[in-house]
Amino acid sequence: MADEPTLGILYALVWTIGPPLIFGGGPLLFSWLVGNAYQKRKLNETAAREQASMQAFGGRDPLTNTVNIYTGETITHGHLLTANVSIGPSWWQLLRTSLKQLIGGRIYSLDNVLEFGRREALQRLREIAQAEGVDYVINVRLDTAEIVTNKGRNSKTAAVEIFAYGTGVYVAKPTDEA
Amino acid sequence: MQTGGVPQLMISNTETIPGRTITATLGLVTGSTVRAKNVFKDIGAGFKNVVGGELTTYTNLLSEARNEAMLRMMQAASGLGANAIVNVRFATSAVAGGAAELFAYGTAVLVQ
Repeated sequence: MADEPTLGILYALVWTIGPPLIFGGGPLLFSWLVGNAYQKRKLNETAAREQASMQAFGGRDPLTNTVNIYTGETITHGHLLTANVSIGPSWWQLLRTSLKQLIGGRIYSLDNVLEFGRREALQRLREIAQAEGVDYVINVRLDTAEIVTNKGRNSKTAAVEIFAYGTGVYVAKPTDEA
Repeated sequence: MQTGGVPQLMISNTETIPGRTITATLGLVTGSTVRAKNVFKDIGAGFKNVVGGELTTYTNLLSEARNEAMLRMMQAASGLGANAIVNVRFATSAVAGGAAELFAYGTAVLVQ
C-alpha cells in the first residue's frame, strides 16, 4: 500500500522518458555512446594487427604501390591477391555530417570511418599475403565504391566498399641459387 | 577459386606475369555480374549502421560477386586459349538502387 505513490511516480517517469527515448534521441544516444567506442576499438585492433604483420615480414611492409621491387632481389613467380571490406558510418556520424553540411568545411567524423576502412582492407591484404607465404605484394591498388547511397538529410544508411588488390610475388632465396 | 571447372590461369595486375615472358597477346577479356542485396540483409546492415563499422554481409556478398566476375573473365580467357591474364582491373558501379555491378577486365595472353 505504501508502495503505491512510488510506483505511480515510476510509471510516470517511464511514460514520460520512455517514448521520447525510444522514438526520439535514444538510438542516436546509443549510436554516440556505443558507436564511437566500438569504432575506436576496431581501429586499435587493426593497428595491432598491422604491427604483428609487419613483424612477421621482418619489420617491413610487404605492400608496395610500384611494379618493381627495388631491393635487388629477383621475382620468380606470383599471382593476384584481393581483399575487401564494407564499412558504414554510424547514425551519430551521419547526423554530424548532415549538420556540418549546413556550414561546409571538413567533416572529421567521416575521416575516421574511411581511415579505418582503408587500413582494414590493406591489413587484410597483408594477412592474405602472409597466409599465401608471398614475399611482396606489388602494384597494390585501392578501389572505393559507394554500395548504399545515402539520400541526404533523414537517410540513415550509408555504406562504402573498399577493395584492395595486388600481385603477390615470391623472390629467389639465396639458397635457391646455391 | 582453384576448384574443379575453374580454368587454371595465371593472373596478375601488373603488365607481365612475374618471372614469365609473354609470347602472344590474345585481346581484352571481361567478366561481369550484377548482384542485389536481399531485403533481410539490408535490414541487418541497417541495424549495424547504428554503430557503424564493418558491414560483414556486404563484405561477403561483394567478395562472392567479384569472384564470380573473375571466374567469367577467366572462362573468356580460356575460351581464347590463353594461359594467363595480365593487367587485371576491377570496377564497381551501382546500376540500380540496391544492386551493384562488379566488373573485372584484363588482357588475355600466352606466356612461356
